[in-house]
Amino acid sequence: MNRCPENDKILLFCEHELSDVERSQFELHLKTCAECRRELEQTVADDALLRAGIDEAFARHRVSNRIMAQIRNEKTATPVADSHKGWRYFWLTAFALLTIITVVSLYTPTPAKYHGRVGAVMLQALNEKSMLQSEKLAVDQVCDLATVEPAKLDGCFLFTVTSGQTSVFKMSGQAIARINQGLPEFTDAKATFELVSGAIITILVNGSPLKLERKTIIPAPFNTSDLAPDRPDLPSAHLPSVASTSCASDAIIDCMSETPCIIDNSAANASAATPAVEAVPGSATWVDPTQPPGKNPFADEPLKLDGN
Amino acid sequence: MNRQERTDVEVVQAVLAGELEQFAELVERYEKLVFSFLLTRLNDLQEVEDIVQETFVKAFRHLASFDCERRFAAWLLTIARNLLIDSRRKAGRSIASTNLVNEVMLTDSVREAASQPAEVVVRRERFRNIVAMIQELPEELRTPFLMRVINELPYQEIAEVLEVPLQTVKNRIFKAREILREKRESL
Repeated sequence: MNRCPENDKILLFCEHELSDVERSQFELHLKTCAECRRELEQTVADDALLRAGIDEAFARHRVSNRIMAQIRNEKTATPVADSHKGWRYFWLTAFALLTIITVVSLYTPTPAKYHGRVGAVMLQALNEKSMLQSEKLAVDQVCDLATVEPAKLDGCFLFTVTSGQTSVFKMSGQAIARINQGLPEFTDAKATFELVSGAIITILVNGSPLKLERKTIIPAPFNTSDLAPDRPDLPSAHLPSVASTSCASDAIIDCMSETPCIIDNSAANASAATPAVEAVPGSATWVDPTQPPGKNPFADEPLKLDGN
Repeated sequence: MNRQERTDVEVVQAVLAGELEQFAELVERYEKLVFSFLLTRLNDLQEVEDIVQETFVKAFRHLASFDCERRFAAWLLTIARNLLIDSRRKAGRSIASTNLVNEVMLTDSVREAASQPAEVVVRRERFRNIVAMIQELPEELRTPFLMRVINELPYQEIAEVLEVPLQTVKNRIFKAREILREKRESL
């Protein structure tokens, strides 16, 4: 059956979706088109019939009185606060706070207290000739000893140990370093060790505890220029083998010697059988904990790389 | 729907403040909406009554959790829909059924005109067909269509209650009418 071309406007007309002009035109059309008029009347009539039928059913099946009666008879006559809502707000609040803290922590520059994480032993090449695992490191390149141990070191390195307190010491020479109970341990060492700043620390060198107490100010009995890494061919045959960081003498750990390491008085007096870090209150060389990562911790205090 | 002097939120707040009888105003406003929402989805008018009652009682019990940013009617229909699903799941019955609803409606809805019994029969049959066609509509079309025709809600209010865009409501109602017209022509 061919429909009137205006037939599609019937539904729009019913829904008042025609513009004023369209509506007027369609009303004119209705006067002349019986088909559209019949269709419109049927649509309107069906709507009315449906509405009347459901209205009638609704009138017969209303339950408003039952609803209110039940509400009045509820054991608790007041609406109970939804416990889920409380929990929802709790979790939403917790999530919001966590998000804020995360964002703030991400965008707030955190003062670097040391080179690396707590409990880490970080080593840093102090000159361009420093070698790790027989490969040259870039100057000031920092790495976590835990990631490279056993680290075969040759040259001049700065160690930053954070174990409660921060200790920074320099190693010049050759040694194999690893971490033992959170502290660096050196074996096959032919090197000098000197505390540069921070807390007193006792490290194991060739199996013996070596207490690094204070910054070394006495020149080593040989050229340990950091620009020229300490040579392994130390004149140990005729020089005393020392292992000290005291101001009285410097130390050399001569692993080639069969004799036990000679430790100076202060080192020898170290009673710590196990490596330990001790605080040095008021130390003038205390590492500034706010130094940014990667920065040489001696930046504020010119480092005398030659040990002087 | 008549304009209310007080908003739904104001009534809700009054109820929460202890004026329990004020809840009757919300029942008055939306009972028909919930009833018609359920009517074409259930084949048992007693079940319709029960779920309508349960919907409002549940709403009352959890009134404190009502999000005042939402439309109260939308919240009610959500409760009704969930109760309907629970009811169907427990009973293991299909949601759409026609016969009983039609029969009840026929006895309930179409007034008999003793002087014109033939017309009554025609109207009954017509009413039966209309309800059957509406029940065959997809729910996304049926609900806005019923809200428009039965509850005579404006498009904007339907959009807010169903939480869909205004144009979507218009499109769905128009689509529902098109389908109903095609079905009517095929009878």
